[in-house]
Order: sequence, then structure tokens, then C-alpha cells
Amino acid sequence: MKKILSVILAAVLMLSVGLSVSAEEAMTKEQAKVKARELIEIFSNSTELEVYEEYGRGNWFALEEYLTDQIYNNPFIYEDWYDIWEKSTDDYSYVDSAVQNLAAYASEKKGVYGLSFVVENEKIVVFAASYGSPAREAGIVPGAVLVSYGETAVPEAATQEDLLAFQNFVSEADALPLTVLLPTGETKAVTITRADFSEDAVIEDVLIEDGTAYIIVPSFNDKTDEYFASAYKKAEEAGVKSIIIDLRTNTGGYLTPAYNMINMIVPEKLPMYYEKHSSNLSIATTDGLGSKTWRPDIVCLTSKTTASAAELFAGVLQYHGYARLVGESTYGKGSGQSMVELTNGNDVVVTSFYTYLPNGRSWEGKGLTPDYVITDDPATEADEVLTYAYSYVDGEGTVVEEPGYYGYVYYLKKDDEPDFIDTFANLQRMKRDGVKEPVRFTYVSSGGMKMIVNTDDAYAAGNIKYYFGIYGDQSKTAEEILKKEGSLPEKARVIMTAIAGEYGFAPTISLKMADKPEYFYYYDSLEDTYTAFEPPYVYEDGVLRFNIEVGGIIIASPVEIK
Amino acid sequence: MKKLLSGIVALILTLTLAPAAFAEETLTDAEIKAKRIINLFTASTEREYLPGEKQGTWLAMTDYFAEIIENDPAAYDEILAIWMDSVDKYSYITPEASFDAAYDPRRTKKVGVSVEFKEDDGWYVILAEKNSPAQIAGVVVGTKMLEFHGTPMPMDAETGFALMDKKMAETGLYAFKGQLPDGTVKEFSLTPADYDLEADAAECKVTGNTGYIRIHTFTEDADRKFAAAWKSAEEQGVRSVIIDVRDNLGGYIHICMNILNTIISEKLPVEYFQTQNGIDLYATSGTGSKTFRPDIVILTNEASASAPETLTAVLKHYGYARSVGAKTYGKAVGQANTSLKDGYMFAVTAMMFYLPDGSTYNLEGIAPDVEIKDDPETEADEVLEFAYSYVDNAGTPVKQPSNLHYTINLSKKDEKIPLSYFAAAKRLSDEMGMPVYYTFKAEDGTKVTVDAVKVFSQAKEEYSFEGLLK
Repeated sequence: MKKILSVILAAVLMLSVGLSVSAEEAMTKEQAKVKARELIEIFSNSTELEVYEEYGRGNWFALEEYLTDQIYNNPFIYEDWYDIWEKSTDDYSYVDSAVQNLAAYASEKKGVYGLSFVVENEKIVVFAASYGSPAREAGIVPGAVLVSYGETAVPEAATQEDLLAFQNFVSEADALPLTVLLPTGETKAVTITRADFSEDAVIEDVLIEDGTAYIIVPSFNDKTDEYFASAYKKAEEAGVKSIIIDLRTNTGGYLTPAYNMINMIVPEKLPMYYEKHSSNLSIATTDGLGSKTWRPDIVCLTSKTTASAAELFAGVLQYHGYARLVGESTYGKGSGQSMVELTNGNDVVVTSFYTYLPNGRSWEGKGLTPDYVITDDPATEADEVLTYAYSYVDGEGTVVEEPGYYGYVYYLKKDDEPDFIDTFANLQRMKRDGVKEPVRFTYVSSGGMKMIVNTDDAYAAGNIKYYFGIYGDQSKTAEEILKKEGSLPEKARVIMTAIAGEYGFAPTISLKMADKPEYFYYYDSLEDTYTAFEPPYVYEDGVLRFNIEVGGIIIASPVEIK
Repeated sequence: MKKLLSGIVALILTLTLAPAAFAEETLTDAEIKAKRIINLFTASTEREYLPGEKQGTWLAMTDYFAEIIENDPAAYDEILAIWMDSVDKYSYITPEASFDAAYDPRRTKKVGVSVEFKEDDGWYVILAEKNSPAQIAGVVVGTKMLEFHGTPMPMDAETGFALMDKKMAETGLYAFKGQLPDGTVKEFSLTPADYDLEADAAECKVTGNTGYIRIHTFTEDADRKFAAAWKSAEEQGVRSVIIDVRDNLGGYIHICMNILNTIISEKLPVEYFQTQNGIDLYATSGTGSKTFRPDIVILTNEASASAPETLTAVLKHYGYARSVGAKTYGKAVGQANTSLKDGYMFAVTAMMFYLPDGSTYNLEGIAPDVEIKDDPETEADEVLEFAYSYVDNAGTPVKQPSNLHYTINLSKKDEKIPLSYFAAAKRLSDEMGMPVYYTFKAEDGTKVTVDAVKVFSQAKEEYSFEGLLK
């Protein structure tokens, strides 16, 4: 964006909002699309005006009035717009009442059945039956198929409408008469009443046998970490050598309890994970406060419904070798949602960040692969996965060494994707909190070019946005510079000049190139001279590889020129 | 905003589209629904950036709008009108080409005259551009056009403009008989030419010990022209300089900064811009001549707006200059320009400017030290004449401060202060080799002064007034 002091010219020019197409002429779809984009750009770009209300009402307020009129005259427009929102967001984004959201995430459930259903292969299937719930007590388990409820029989080919009808029935009823077909093939008719229960209480029911503790973690609610701390302590006091953590029914929840639980287990300071938001990266490390003397062998049980925060928990422990996973590949949800409260008390929940392991890999859409894959046979009473896990634990404990540095890898989606100062502020805070230096942040471009950033330098530059290749350059990326025409030394000069220009002081930049000593320069930006310099290099198969150093710090490595 | 990794729960809870109950009784259903839609779209804008199969809400809106506009082109006008109504008078949308032309002082093949038809009266010159063939030939504003290429001017606008277009196309000449405001009738024959509105901007007219430099606009190479004029003033050994920014409607801020850097030889805080995303700090580079420090008098009027006001305010603030004439316009807001896909661009007010002490001349304008009005009845330029008598040749001693200090007003005491404010200070401090101090002033008058670079090193996500007090 060009910034200008534009002035009264605006009032003078007074604007031909000029329409090239008159109302009588038919407009092509393409012309309409261009104009539509124009409107969208105007509205989304000028949102910032809202802060200066004294200078105008602000676009969104004005649009609100327009919409009010439109909706007043034609209520379907509301549905239209709502529909657009729904279609354009992912499956995890939704609007719901705040009350319901809180209920879904509170560990203390009040007056509910503790059941949820999905439509799967034209059947209404129990998706989850919370531990401690009336449904679970009555013997209903995930995978059970709904046959009938009340007087209503579920049709042979059930649809979403049938599920909706059933859910309406559920929300009205004080007692729920159900007939279900259990995975074992048994048909069961029960009547469940609403009750208050704590889903997480099951965590405390640690089963300790033969030096192995078995802990079920059903979800990541607001108090899950407290329950887990108590269970984990019980296991330590019993002196077990192995722990089996059952995450098979855990579909996620809040991030904070998962973070706290990893910290209870891990006694080293390690990179944990990072979140990529549209405007920053948020980085987490372990605080290294786990017990150094008690280091049990951990096995996490996973299933295809182990999702989200549960995947993060298992994924981080697996990544650092703290835990092995046994069971099925996990669900594959690495996205997180933000909640915004609406004027009418409802919440909009929208996907706004993705989580990654320190190596830059995400389990989104793929799930985590267990170290040993085993599926429970629904036809048998026995729990094959758990039985196998008991034989799999080795009681040898885990020893993980603290790395010499904290490494994170970020794969750029586009080479001109910016990163923001918040990322580096984050790392500065970590350093102050006692994390060892240096924190190495490696950006990988779509072409596979890597850039290791000295994060102290990057933060000290004080820019708002950072681009791959060059700190603070708003227009060029290293790869773009490399694409410029010219001979090898010319290209090298272009890179050096661009980088030198960004530092504002006389940087020592050495281009380390191989058997071509004449291509080896020392650049002095004060004198604007290039001096031949003795360098190391790699030059083979017509590709020149070298590092770029500023002040002794490698800022790009390796750079390749063909 | 609360963060959560929501699990698969979203899949199960089907959406209830019908709002259950509206808590706010003062709002109608339609108003609440409208607010809700706005919230939905605003809150989920960031989705666009993220990968996935879904197209993103703003892109989906494009399809929706495209359909509406295709069926009813008037809807486009309607929505655009809403935008126009809701923004301030400095925000606008225009074809990019005409914006560029308006800001370019260079004219190509023009005679530089604009005429207007006044009902039941006749044709009058309303503009004779500086340095244009028209101005050089002596055409002045108010000249009544009697004949064009020997044909008496028709008494309606349409035929008149058609006549001018036709004759121009045939002959390439703009020839007319006109009656000047003083009553004399004169024949003009103007040949279109290339000229520059600011051709004389690089000159410094010297009278006695006083130089006169006019800045027409703050565009293109106005800064280089000023530097040339300033150098010429120094070489001619003047002791006072009159800088004329009357009828100057502004332009780019970097041009203004370059002009300030030509004049000022100390590193001084100049101004800061507050945007929704942070702060831009401006300071002089201290590169002005240390030997040439004339007494400066600036001529201002009601049409000195924006960048010339920055120039005037800063020079006056540090005692570099006094001003004479009329109070300035009072515009301390800036616009951000965005190019659109169809060749249009729009400018929208996106920043506010404040002097280093936190004060603003917005709306109020800058009062002159001596108010002098030009008498339109006389040939003479009374303001300029007074300025010549007002300069004192005394020069301007200004002390170099040991730091750069900015006062930032907080609208509320609990307003969040973003990290980016301090990042701006760090960049400036590195560039200038001086510490940068901020004084935050709350609405109740309480203040806190901090070393902004030290605060930056704390690397917090955001800061608060109370936190900084500690």
C-alpha cells in the first residue's frame, strides 16, 4: 500500500464512482465478479477506519444498516448469507449457543445423558458414550447402532434428518428409552435418565497391576490436567515402571490441559509444538519440570476417534521418544478454533490456527501412525488393544537428552508468505524464561531452500513483517533475487547488495563459493566495494552452493545457483 | 478470544440456524441478525489464509455479490454508495490513471486552461495553470471568452464544448477572443505544449537579504527542487527565507520529510502516525546544512493542507520558523491507497498524525504568528509584502536533544499498547543512534514515560499503562 497525505484533492476530484456499464445493459458474469471483488476489497481493506469513528461511521456499521433493511424486506437473505459462511468454512467451524459450548467442554456434566451420535453407513451410530455417564453405566458403548427410540423405529437407510429428529426427541425427553445393537451383536433395550456426572473422574481410577499403571484420559476438559496429576502421582507412589494412557475415546478439547500434562511427564526442556495463526506463530516448549528420577515407559492407546488435543499430546510424546503409540491411526485434526461471542449471546467458532510438531510436520488429514498397529475386534468381549499394550510395555523407561538448541522448522506455503515480529517476540520471552540459546528457526521455501534465522537478530531488527530470505525486505525474496538474470558473480553481487542494504551497517558478507576464488567477495557497504576473499565452497554438476553470513551468523544455507 | 482445539464435537452438534432467544430487547430481529452476519464474516476473515479445500468466506462473498450484481447492476451502485457515505471526505475511489494524473505536476500537450459556462451570462476561464501556454500568454482567471476561432460562443454548454472540440481537432490551436477582468479585449492563440506546474519550484528569488521559495505541491520531485532552491539561497548568501505554501494541498509524506531534512540540521522527532496496527515514527535525519541557518517565515492560507501543515507545524515547533498569513486548513489524517483489479484504486483514511508533544492540528489548523489577509481587489500580494518586512535575519539556533521523545495519547487508561509501538521505536533508535522515549498520557492526565527500546527488549505480546508504571 502506498501511503499518502492525500488531502482535499479527494474532495475536489469527487469521485466518478463511474460505472462503465449502465443498468439497461446486461452484465457478464466476469464483469460482475470484478465489481464484486472490488466491493469486497473496499470493505475488508477499510475495516480499520472503524477506529476513527469521528471521521465517519465506518464501513461495517454502514453495511449493517443496509443488511438490516435487506433482511427486514426479505428474511431469506439472512439464510443466504449464513449459508455462504457455512459453506466457506471447514467442518470444525460453527455457530452455537454459548451455553451449549461450555457444556461440551466442562468436565462436570449436569443433567445430561452423556451420549453423542453420528450417521455412518446409513445407520445412526453411537459416536461417544462419556465415562461415568448414565449411558455408559447402562452398558452403551461407542459403535452401537440405534434401532429404535420411544415409539419410533429408525429407518433402514437413516439420514441426517433422522438424526435431527432423534436429537429433537432427546432434547425434549426426561428419560430416554432406547434399543441399540451392540458391536458384539447383542440387542439391548434400556431406559436412561439424565444425571450429573464427571467425565474425568475415570482418570483417577488408575488400575495398577504388575508394575504397570493404566490411565484412561477421556477428553481434554478444563480440569483434565488436575485429575491426571493425581493419577500420575498415584502411579509414581506405586513405583510402576510402565504407564498405559488410553486416548481411544478422546476427541480433544482444550489445548492447555494437554500442554500441562506433557510438562508433568517431560523432565527436559524440549521444543513442544507451534501454532500457526494467520498473523503469527505461537511457540511452545516444555518447561522441564517433570520428575528426573521417575521415568516410566509410556504407551498411548489410540483409535480412529483419537483427535485434536489428544493427537497433540500423543504426537509430542511420540516425537521425542517419550511414548510409543499402540492401536489405530488417529483421526487427523491439527486445526484449532477461536471462539468469538456474537451480539445475541451465541458464539462463532472458527478455525483459525494449525498445530505442528517442531519438525514442521502436521497430523492434519493424516493422523498419527502408531508404533504398533492393532485394531480391536468388536465381536469379542476382550479388549485386544489393551491386552497387547500390556505385553508391549517394557518397563525400561525413557531417556531423552536435552538438545543443544531449540529447533523448529516452518514450511512456507508460499515463498512470499510473511512471518511477524510476534514469532520472534515469543522466542525472546522463551529465552528469558530460561530456554537455552540459541533458538534456531528454520524456514523452508516451496523450492526446498532453507534459511536458518538468528532469532535475536530478527527481533532486534524491529520489523512488523518478515519475509523469507531477507529480514525486513518488503518486496524481494531470496529466491526472486536468485531468479534474476546474470552471470554467477553478478547473481552473487545482487544477493549481497540486497542483504547489505537491509542491515544499515557494514556487514561482513562472505559468499562461500568453491573452486572459483574470483567469485568470492567481501563486501563493505560503507565503501561500497567488493574484495576478493578466501572462501570455502561447493561447486558440482553446474550448481553452486554457498552460505551467506552476516556478522558471523549464517542467515541463508545453503543457497544454490544453477 | 478463547482458544480451543475443539475435537470433533463440531461434526456432531448440528447448527441451529434459528436464533433461540434474543437477549437484547432494544434491537429488532433484523438488526440482530445483521450484526450476527457482520460478526461471522469479520471473525472468520483469517480463514482465507489457511490451507484447505474450503474457499474462504471473502472469496465466497465474491460469488454471492457477483450473482447479485449480474442480476441487478444497480445493487453495485447501492453498496458503493454505502461505502461512500460511511467514510470521511478524504476517502474515495477513482480510476488509477486519473489519480496519477492529478498528482503529477507535469502536463503533456495541454494549453492549461479550463472554462465554465455560466447560465444566461457566458463563458469564463476558471483555471489558467501555472507555467502553461495560457498563463504565459496572459490568460487570467475571470477572463470572459467571447469568440472561439472567430465564431461567437454559443449560449449553451453542450454546443460550446462541441465547437471547441471540433476547432481544436481541425487546427490544433486554442484560439479565442477574450475580455480580461480589467475590461481589455485580447486575441489569444495557444499551442498545446508540455509544461511543469512546478517549473519554478527549484528557484530562489532573492530580494536584498531575503530569498523566496514557493512549494506548489508535495509530489514527484518537489523535494529535489526545494533542495536546489535552498542550495541556491545559501550560495547567494541570504539571511532570511520566505517559504510560500499557500494553496498547497499536500501530497506524499516522504517528500515533506526530505524537505524538512534539507532545512533541519539536528536529529529531532517530527511527528508520529497512529494506525490501527501500530505507530510510524518520523524524525529528521540531521543532515541539513549546519552553516546555513536563515530566519524562516512561512506563508500559509486556508488552502495549505496536510503535508504543508506538517512542514509548518514542525518548523514552528522547534523555533525554526514563524508563519504569516491565514490559519491553515487542519488535516492531520492520512490515507492508504489500494489498487483494485479493474484499474480503479481507493484511498481510505487510515492514520492520524500527532506532533511529538502529542498535540494535533487536525480540524483546528495552525494559526499564523501574524494574521495578514490578502486584499483580492489589489494587484499586490499583501501577505508577501508583510513577510519581507517581518523577516529579522536573526537565524535559528536549535539545540540537539539527547534523545527522541514522543508523547502518545491513550483514549482509555486500560487501552492495550501493542508490541509494534515499541518495535517502531527500536527501528528508529537504531537508525538515529539515539534512545527513543515514549510518554503515554491517559485521559485523566496521568503520564508515564518509558525508554521505548528497553520496553521492546521485554518482548511482551502487549503492554498496558499500569504495567508500564511499574
